[in-house]
Amino acid sequence: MNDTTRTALKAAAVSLLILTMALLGYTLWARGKVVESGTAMGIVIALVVFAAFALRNVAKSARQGLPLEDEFTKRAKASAASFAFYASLYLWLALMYFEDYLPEHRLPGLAILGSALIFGLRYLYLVKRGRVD
Amino acid sequence: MKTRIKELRARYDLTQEDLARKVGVRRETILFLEKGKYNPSLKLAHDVAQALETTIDELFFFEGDPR
Repeated sequence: MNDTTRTALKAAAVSLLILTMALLGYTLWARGKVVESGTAMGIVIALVVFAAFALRNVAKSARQGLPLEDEFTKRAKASAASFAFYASLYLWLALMYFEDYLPEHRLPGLAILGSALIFGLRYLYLVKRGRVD
Repeated sequence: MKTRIKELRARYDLTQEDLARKVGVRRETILFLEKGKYNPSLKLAHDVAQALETTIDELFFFEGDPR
């Protein structure tokens, strides 16, 4: 798979996610759930900011004729993934402990969102730090 | 780990971007290699050494290595 196809697929996936979250936010708002709606819209804003940042990097790399992914970024992703898995175990434990205080049926969603957030933040940290070992 | 990438790059009048393009990696990867932050794979070390017309052991070394 070349860089253009990969970028197009990622852009489509992120757009779909943003659209879904925006629709969820609107539906919750329409039902009068202001806090949940605000959370969903907050996630939408975070995703849009992240997508804009990623798009800027893609455009810069394309202009310079450099690859979007290389050995370093692949290692950073692998390292961030293993960290996210390990940290998620503790996150699950914490969520199970506070289960009674959380909204019903939200546990899996929160855990998945938490894992994704941990992965994303750890990846950005590693890519900025330059040391992945 | 220390490297002589910056020194050799200057000798051939190459920017980090030029070297990255030659090797086929991102510019940041060259930056982290130069700073000694990133330990490259043998393949990447070989590619960088080849791009700078030198050998791996001339390019990468550890402090205290007999030179």
